[in-house]
Amino acid sequence: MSDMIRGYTDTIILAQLLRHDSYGYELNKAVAQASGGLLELKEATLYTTFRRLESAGCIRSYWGDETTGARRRYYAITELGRALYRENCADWQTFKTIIDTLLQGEEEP
Amino acid sequence: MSQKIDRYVQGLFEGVPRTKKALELKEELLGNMRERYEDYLREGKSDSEAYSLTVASMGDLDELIAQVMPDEHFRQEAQYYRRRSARNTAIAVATYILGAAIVVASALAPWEGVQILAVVILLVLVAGATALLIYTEMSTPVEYREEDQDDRWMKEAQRHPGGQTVKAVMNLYWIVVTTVYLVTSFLTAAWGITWIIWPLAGLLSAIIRTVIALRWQHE
Repeated sequence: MSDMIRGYTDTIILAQLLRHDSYGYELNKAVAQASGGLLELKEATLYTTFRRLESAGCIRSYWGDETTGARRRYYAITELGRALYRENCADWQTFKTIIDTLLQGEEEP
Repeated sequence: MSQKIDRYVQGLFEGVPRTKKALELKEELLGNMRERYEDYLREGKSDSEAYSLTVASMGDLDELIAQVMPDEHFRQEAQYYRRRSARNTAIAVATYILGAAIVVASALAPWEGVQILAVVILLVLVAGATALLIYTEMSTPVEYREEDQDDRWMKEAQRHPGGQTVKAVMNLYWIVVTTVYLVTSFLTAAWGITWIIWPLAGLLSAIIRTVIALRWQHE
């Protein structure tokens, strides 16, 4: 299943950032909770994706001003990111319909 | 506490040049890992359990760290700043020596006014040289600076577990020596001879360090 999800890591992250700006751990926790603990992204995957999306201009980052402990790096979605999100969602709908149709098997009597 | 996490992340970045990207990634990772670790503790996990789970959650970071490795541009910049720092330090040190030389030479002059002038020149030179050193340090971007003392000291402490103890012992030692010096000097009023405590204390401190170092090697 993780192989199938891998292609959608970008979109999952974009969907989270669509709600509000977030930082690595918080975002990962939200994903884990929303999926009922079934899906948790590895930190390595998470940060690689952040960096790829940022250099593509789909998200931007800024440092929080925490007074105690380490600073947090927050990510925010950009217009380009929103467009990519919508595009990926449309793709997914098409894909889902096709697979649903194709997997509808009935044994002939 | 979360020191183990800090050390783990520190270890991941061992040997990675301190580029801005690398430092930022490290800070980001560190903050998030600490928070995760503390969350595990709050859930009632044991110290070592929380640590293992946190480390496991990281996955393979090698690829990510490879992305923040420096390019040719960084190396050239680093070299420029290193040369600039070496040149300015040399100029500053030469200026200090020149100032001292002027004062020494002025002692040979027959008029007192020359000596005062020499001291004024010395102060001006020292101010200029110090300003140069401070400017060089401050205007060097953090990623091109030499590793700071804290980092170096932390690595040292890892290599010799107990390095912190020696530091604490030596701090205490010098406080005791100072106290002994002041007390004996005031009580005996023999200021002319009590200075001998300092070279003796220096010798003793070297002996203590050597003995402790040898004991570690045995362990």
